[in-house]
Amino acid sequence: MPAVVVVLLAGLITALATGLGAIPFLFVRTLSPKVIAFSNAIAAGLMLGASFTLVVEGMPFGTWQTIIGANLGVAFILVTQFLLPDEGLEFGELKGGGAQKALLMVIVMTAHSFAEGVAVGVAFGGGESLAVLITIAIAIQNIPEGLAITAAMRPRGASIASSAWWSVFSSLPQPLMAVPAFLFVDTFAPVLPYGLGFAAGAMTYMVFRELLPDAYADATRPEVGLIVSLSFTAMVASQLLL
Amino acid sequence: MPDLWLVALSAAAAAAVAVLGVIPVILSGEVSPRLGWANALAAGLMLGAGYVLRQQGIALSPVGGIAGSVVGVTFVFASHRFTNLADVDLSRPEDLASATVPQIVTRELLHSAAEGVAIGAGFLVDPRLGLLMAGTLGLHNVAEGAAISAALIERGWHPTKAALLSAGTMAAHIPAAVATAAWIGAGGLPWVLGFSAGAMFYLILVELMPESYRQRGHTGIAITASAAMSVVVLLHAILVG
Ligand SMILES: [Zn+2]
Repeated sequence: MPAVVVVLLAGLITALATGLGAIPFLFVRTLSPKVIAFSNAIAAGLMLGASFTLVVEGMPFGTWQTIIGANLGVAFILVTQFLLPDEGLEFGELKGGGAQKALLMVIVMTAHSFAEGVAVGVAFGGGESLAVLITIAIAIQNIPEGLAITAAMRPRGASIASSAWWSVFSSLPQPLMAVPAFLFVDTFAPVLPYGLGFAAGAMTYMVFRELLPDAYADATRPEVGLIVSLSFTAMVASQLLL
Repeated sequence: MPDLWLVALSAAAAAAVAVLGVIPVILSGEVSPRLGWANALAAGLMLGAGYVLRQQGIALSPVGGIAGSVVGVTFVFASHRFTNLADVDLSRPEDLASATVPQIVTRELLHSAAEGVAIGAGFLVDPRLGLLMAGTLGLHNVAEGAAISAALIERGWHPTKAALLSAGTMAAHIPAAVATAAWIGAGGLPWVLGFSAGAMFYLILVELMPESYRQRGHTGIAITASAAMSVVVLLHAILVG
């Protein structure tokens, strides 16, 4: 099989794995205010953990580039949120404010997998022997990202099926970006720290602006503190071990 | 071993600036909602500092860095439970009505001790990281000092005494920082780095963020915190490399 096809297939598998993140919600039937707050806290911790790894990954490629990218990511979400109407907006089965937040969440996570796709391609470009290992690692890392998306979309009224679909959708840029990045490593490598920083900034801002306040709304502070800390740690640990 | 006098001095300076917190309280007669900005700024700076500490710890030993951070979270969680002030917002009068002064002081002593470990751990990696930690925490202490002073003045304390007691509770930075810098060897370093990152992360989530959201809304706080975070990470990269 040509290397390009391998990279594309690898990327597709990792994208599909993201949908698996919706599975835990099959077991959570009632969406009480407490469950909603806890879901937001889980999503917040997972996303903060993912952005920590993105920054750690980006820094060796360029400190300033990563930090500038991060602040651009914050600005991007700020502007997007300003432009999106919070009334009259429809996103899937969602309407109004819930639709705005769910849509933002998908935009942020999609931007994130753009950057990750480039990272995958550049990593593959370094040598093919690790290809299978990298694919498995990324597929597994994508599951908690799908969990984060579902944990943020479910409380806002999205069904499990559509949360799973949007999770997969948000990961599609991974294969799409991995291929050109793999083919043109030299062109993509300089952009990588900006992209990684951008994704980290966008995700962090999303956590501070939307997920944390919604978590505090119906859970006590120690509950939020513990859930966010533990999901953060789990995310960092899973990304390090793989 | 880092210069222990420098460690003690920077920890003391970070604690001493807490007396400044009483000034806005005297001027406005309450914990001004403007403190929300200071809280969010401190939260962002401490998160950035926590990122740096965590990354250094994990680089030395992934297991130590991660397990240490779980210990740090547990320590602050337990100290909040121990003082029965787990869900108390120091800057909210109705929350404070039921809290006694010894409870508040105990909670703050444990809080500042955990932060002191971060200063000591910073010095163990690089003196410049230690100074960065002390500076970050000093800024945070001004906001923290304002909340404590306001709570004490509310109970009839003289502002001068209130300011001194708030700085006094922060002085727990000093023994914690010096002990960390003096006694922790290479094997323990990833653990204390993880510990301080985990402890600060939990403190930010339980104390700083909810307070600042309540004082200043969501958007401004989110921008301040994320920008401050990136400033510390950048500063660390420039100063320490
Ligand atoms: Zn403090």
